[in-house]
Amino acid sequence: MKIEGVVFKAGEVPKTLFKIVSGTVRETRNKTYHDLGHGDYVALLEYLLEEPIQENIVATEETEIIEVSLEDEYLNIIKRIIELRKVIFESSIDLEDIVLDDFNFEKVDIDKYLEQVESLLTLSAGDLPDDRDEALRVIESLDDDKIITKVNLVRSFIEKFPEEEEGARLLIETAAKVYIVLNDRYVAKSLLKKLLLHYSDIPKFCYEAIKTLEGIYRDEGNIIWRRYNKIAKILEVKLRGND
Amino acid sequence: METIEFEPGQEIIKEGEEAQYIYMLKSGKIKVQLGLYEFVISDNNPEVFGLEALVGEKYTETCTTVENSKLICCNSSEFMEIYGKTEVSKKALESFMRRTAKVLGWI
Repeated sequence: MKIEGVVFKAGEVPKTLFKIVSGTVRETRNKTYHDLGHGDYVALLEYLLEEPIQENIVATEETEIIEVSLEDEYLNIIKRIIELRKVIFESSIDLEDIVLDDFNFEKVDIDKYLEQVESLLTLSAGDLPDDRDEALRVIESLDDDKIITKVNLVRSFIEKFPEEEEGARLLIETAAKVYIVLNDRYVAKSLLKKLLLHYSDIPKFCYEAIKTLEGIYRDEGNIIWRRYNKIAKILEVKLRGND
Repeated sequence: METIEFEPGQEIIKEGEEAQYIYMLKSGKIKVQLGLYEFVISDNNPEVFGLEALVGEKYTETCTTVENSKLICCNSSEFMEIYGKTEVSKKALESFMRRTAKVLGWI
């Protein structure tokens, strides 16, 4: 059967098990969605547990699904659940032994990426004054329409004044603006991760960066948000202990 | 297929090890650790674990006895022959899914 749009409505208890032949079906639970594709089962959780669907499950494009039986698909379903469990392990962290690898940093060099963006937009960051206060004034005077220039000046500020905590504050503020103004998750995440690398000894800024990363990943429906959520909880406890 | 008795604190299956057997709790209490989460299953609501053995995967959870427990242990062909297409296998899949969904924050 070919379908586009709602497959199961919110509140409905699925009585039929459908397997996807082609196309994409989006499930949303607790405000986090994930897309299902070829070979996946639609609303498997609710079907097995005989529970109502939380939010509409929709085919986001023309999708072909077929009705299958639990008995025939039994072993395949176990395999699918094991695949889901692998996601759990990939997004889990050892709370006692957090290492930078746990932050899932992109392989691309962050500075190189920002340079590419800068050259594409033909915006010149220019030189930053040697005086710290003057440099801050230049950065903060830039409007939102020069956000990429601001990103580059913030980078220069961190290189020029590596010991200044203001660099961390600028990174958080600029990342938030990049996310809101440009809706560029990649640059925003890169800036926040840069903060984690450069200012890992300042928990209050790390906490803010991690909370923002959690929000961004959650918005894009990426389960990695759980990793940041856990790290944020640990930092929160540590910060409270420092009060 | 056999019934095995375990003392408290004994590890029955361990995450990451090759899955060979499926276990059914007859009496006692078991702690199931999946990722960073822990569940306790008891004979009030008998459960099956070790379904990974049916598909040749490694165990994805660690199960340890909390108290003296009796478990039925069987290999994949025994399980499918005896319990396949019965309520036992359906319930086993349901609890396997439920634990997964809880850890994923779906329920």
